[in-house]
Parts: sequence; C-alpha cells; structure tokens
Amino acid sequence: MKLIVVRHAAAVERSSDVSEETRYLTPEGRVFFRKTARTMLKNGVEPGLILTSPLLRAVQTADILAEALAYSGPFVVRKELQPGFDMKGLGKLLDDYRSVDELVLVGHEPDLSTLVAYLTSRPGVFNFKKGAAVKLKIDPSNLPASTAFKWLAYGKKLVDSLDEAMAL
Amino acid sequence: MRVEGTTPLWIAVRILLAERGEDFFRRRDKALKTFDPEDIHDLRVSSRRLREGVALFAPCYSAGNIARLVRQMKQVTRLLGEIRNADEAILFFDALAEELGAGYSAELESISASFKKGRKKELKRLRSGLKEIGEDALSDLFRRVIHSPLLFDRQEDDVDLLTPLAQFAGEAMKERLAAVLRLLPAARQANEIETQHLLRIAVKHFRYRMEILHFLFGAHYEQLHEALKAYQDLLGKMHDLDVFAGIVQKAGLTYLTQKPLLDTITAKRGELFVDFSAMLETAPFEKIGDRMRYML
Repeated sequence: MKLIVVRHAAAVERSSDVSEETRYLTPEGRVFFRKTARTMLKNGVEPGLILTSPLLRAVQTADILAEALAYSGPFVVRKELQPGFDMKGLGKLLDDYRSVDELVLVGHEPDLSTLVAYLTSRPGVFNFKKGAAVKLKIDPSNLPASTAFKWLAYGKKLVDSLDEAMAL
Repeated sequence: MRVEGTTPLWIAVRILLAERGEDFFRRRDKALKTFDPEDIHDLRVSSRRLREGVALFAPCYSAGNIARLVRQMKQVTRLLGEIRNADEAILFFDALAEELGAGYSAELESISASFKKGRKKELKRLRSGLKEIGEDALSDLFRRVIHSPLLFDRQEDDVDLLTPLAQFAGEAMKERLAAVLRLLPAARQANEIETQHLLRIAVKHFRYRMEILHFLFGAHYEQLHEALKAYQDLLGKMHDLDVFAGIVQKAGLTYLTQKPLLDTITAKRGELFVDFSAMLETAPFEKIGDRMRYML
C-alpha cells in the first residue's frame, strides 16, 4: 500500500474569535500547499481515498489537494486523525481501508512526525513541516519493518532521501 | 461512499450532487441516441431534480459559480419543456375529440394538427440543442463547480460546511414546506387558479428536495413521498387543463364551438378541484410537515 501523509498547511492562530477546530488556512498557507500538491501531482500521486482530520485546516488542505490532483473520489473524515493520532489509530484506519492501493491521510503535528519516525524506524524527531507530504510504501501486516520511504514533497521541492528529509 | 445524517456537509454536497449529475448526464446520452418521447421526458424530470439539488446546496458554493451553472441548466429544461408540452396537448385534444364525437372532431383535430406540426419543428430544435449540451462543456462546468464547496473565505453568515448534513437538511426542508403552507389558504379557493399553479411548483420543489435527502427520512419516507406525488400529479393535471383552456380560447373558433369545449374543460377541472379539496382533508400538508419534522 502507498501511504501519503500530509500535514495541514499554515493556519491562523487560535484566538478569542477563532476556536481550535475552526482555525483556517492563511492565504500564504494555501498558496504554499498548492505548490506541494502540484509537486505530488507531478510525482504520480493518484489517491484511492483521502482521509482527513475533522478540523477545518485539515479539511481545507485536503480540499486543495483534491483540486490540484483533479481527484473526484470520496473524502472521509476520521476522528482518529485529529490531534492525538497514534499507532492505534493508524492500525484502525489501515484495517478499515486495507483494499485501498493509495491512501492519503491529512492530519496534525506532533502526531505525524511521530508516525513517520516510527514507520521509518528512525528514532528522534522527524520535523514534519506545515504543508508538507511524505510518501511511504508499507505492508500493513508487517509494520514498521516493511516500510520504505519514497519521498517528501515540500512546496516545489521533492526530497527522495530520508536523511535529507529529516534534515529539512 | 454512503452519505448519512452525520456526514459533514462539505463531503455530502459533492456526493449527492454528483449522483444527481450522473443521472442527468446518463439520461442525456440516452435521449441523444433515441429521441424517444419517454427518454426526453425522463431527461426533463432529471434536469429538474438536478436543479433542485443545486438550489438546495447553493449556499455551500460561491454565488457566481452557482449562477453560471443554473443559467445553463435552465436552458436545458426549457429546451426539453416545449416538446413535452406539445406531446401533452396532442394527447389531450385527440382524446377529447374521441370523447366529444363528430360534432367537434374537425376543430379539435385542427388544434392537434397544429401541435403535431409544431412538434416536428421542436424536435429539430431539440436535436441541435441536445447535441450542444451533449458536448463536454456543461459536464465539465458541473464537475468543477460541485467539487468546489465554499471551504475558504467564509463570511459570518455563510453555511458552516463542517456541520452534519442532517442539521442543514432539517432547515432546508422546513424552507420548502413553508413555501407550500404559505400558498395553501388561497389555493383552497376554487377560483385561485394562479395560486394553485404556484402551489404545484412549490410541491414539486418540496418533493424533489425530499427525494434528494430520502435516506434521512427513515421508514415513513415512502408514505410521505407518495402523498406529495399524489398532490403534484393532481395539481399538474389541473394546470394542464388551464393551459388547454387557453389554447382553445386562442384557437380562433366560433363562439358556438368554443363554449362547449371550454365548458367540458371547466367541468373536468372542477372534478379535479373536488379531488384536490378532498386530498387536503385526508392528507393535510400540516400533517406531512409534522411527520417530516419528527423524522428529521
């Protein structure tokens, strides 16, 4: 299975007017993530399914991705992907969508860095930047041993070495 | 993916409109192949359902995009409407000629013949019009619009697309019910022909909206839907007779021929109005509204 993990793009900060759930993408965040999405398109991303956290900034990121990829398939909002997403949550999602060949997850930090570090068996903090995407090849029945890092897309950049990706 | 009451609006709108769109474009392709009156009628109904879907979810999209889509959809419905109206008139006047016998057959056949002639012209127009909508421009526009709900730059009064569909649907159904209930007091009066016509349109919108959201209504959906369909059929027949009366009036007939024809049509309409009044007692809209509110 191809697993593409996306961190939502830059969003406005929480304030008295904007709750955590309704923090929305800044114009710069949107522009930047469109570049990431185009890089993903150029590198053959064709999701079978897009799963997103229910929080607005993740939903908006998923929407930009779908538009850039001309994706008209289903979206599914999964609570597991909201802040606090962990390996148990990942296991549940992989169980539910085992037949999907290319799965996109849109979520939050620090969960996604922890997830990528675990799957790639690289201890330490993976610095998952806002509006970035990581593609992994996984075998859900043999995690994390089976995982292969494919690339990281960040704006126009595409990094295909895990070491370089970690240093970014 | 199955849409449920808990599905966030931004997901539900894409899926539900895509379903309507698929139905419309499939029927368009079929009508283009066959030009069969039934296929043309099915396409017309499908276009109306699609337009109701677009109206229902319009608050979830940019007003400019929706206006462009609606403009194009209206052209299609109009294109299909003329030929359907001619078919209905031919059917009615042929049947009336048979019912009234030799005394009026020449006049009625002449009216019917003018529609048959007009129908041929309409069919030609429809062929070229359907070919136009058969091109990709409309389906491309449709897909582009429905996959771009207003997730960005929300204003304070805009619909919150993260809310569950059921919450939005409840309000949307109440809106259509209110439009029906507003017209009802006047429509109960036999001479309020124009209001009965407006009620027919309001019921049609209410029914189509209910069909789009059918999965939210639970076990009693069929019963409610049947009641609305019965109203729509009856009000539709009443309206057809009003249109046919107008045709007779404009047909240039002598008074002695025109009057009995109009009397016959008026009598038929009177019978339908009695049925309508009875239906208002046996299946009152207020009760339909109560049930709907309970189910949603």
